[in-house]
Amino acid sequence: MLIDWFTVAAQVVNFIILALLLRRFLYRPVAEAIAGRKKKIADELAAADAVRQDAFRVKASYEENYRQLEARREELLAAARQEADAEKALLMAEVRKETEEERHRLVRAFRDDRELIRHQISRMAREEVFSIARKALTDLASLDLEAYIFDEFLKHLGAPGALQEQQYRQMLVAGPQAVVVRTAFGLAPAQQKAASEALTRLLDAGPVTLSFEIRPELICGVEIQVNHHRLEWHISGYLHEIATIDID
Amino acid sequence: MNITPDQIIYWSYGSFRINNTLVTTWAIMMLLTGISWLITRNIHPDKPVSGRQGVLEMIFITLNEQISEAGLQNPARYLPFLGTLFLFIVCANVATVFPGYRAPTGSLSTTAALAFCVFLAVPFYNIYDMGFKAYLKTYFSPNPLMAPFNIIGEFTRTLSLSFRLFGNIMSGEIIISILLSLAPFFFPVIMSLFGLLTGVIQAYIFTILATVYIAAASKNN
Repeated sequence: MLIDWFTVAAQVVNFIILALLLRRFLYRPVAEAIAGRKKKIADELAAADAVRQDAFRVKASYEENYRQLEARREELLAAARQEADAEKALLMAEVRKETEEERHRLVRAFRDDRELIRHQISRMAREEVFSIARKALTDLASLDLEAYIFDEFLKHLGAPGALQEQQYRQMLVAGPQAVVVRTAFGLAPAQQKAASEALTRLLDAGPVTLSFEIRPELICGVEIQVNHHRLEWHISGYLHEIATIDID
Repeated sequence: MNITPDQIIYWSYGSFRINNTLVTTWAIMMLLTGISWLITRNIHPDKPVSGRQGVLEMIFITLNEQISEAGLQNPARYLPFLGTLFLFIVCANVATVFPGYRAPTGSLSTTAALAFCVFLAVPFYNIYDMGFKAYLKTYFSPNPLMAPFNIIGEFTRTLSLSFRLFGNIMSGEIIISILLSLAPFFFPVIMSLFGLLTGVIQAYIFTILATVYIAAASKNN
């Protein structure tokens, strides 16, 4: 007999037992391991995806911040440009102003220098002219130049032109007061007397109180001050016009 | 020479006989269980997969795929039954390379027992899935006149399963034995190699047919 029914029954039981054992020791652990690994991989993928999403969000945030910073930078640059332009304009105005002031200062300095030089030229010319003239007159004609100049001044006071006479009379508007006669040289008493008489006639205001002063800077001239008016008769004024014409 | 290892009896008490078939079956059971336990005792999803675990997982996945391709949608549910069928038959057949070994699948009692298990499994799974009445209706499909043929079919396919496996393994062993006596140096080796191939193919056929029987009953519904 090929079939032993006890063996058949035993093999059925054996098979069932083997199936249960393998389910316990093989299929279930392997299935759980595979499922666990799949779950782990899925979790890691989900975590990676979450990290990726976070990275995208962070990236978007950084990009937004970058755009804002760019916009802010542009605003600041524009403001800085405006401020710089304003500052530049202000500085340029100040520079122009300072330049203009410097130019005026230089012009003034130049004019002052020119005046000084003119004055020096005038003074030197007067001194030279007078020195030469006096020496020439003394050496060649035995004449006293200063005495002649004073005499000529007295003649002028005695017979002034219409214009000078009107000018002289304006000196007396406030009434005759102290009259000062300044000369570069000392006047003899006769010359002082002649001067007093000439002035009395000219001013036509009664006796005039005279005082005499010596001023060497007048060189060889005469200067009379009545009130606040001054009558000059010396070479300085004469040469002043010449020097002005020459320099300009 | 004994045709079936059932005839090799080690111990008997009345009808209880511990024969070679049962002993080798227990040995295969211990071997399969022991190997499974050794490999899977430290298995953990967080641990790296060892080579042995990889082989087990490959077998596990392949069996699942085969069951799924045969038409069963939830292979994990059928794996303990169908996978055990395959592994047991493969181990029993492949072990024929060891001298003096008699495969339990060369016993008609074993193949009949396995076929009987399949015979029981088909209604078990289908009744569990669709209910008793619905399963009974499958015997009257496509019309009640087919009921006797369907019932006969259940028995004949069980018989065919058991005799196919038994015939192939038993004949292989007998041929090797005969060749050993005629030409002991060359042909038995070739036949043993053929026996390995035949054994694996028979295990595959048996398992696939069992899967198809279960799936067919389910689809008939």
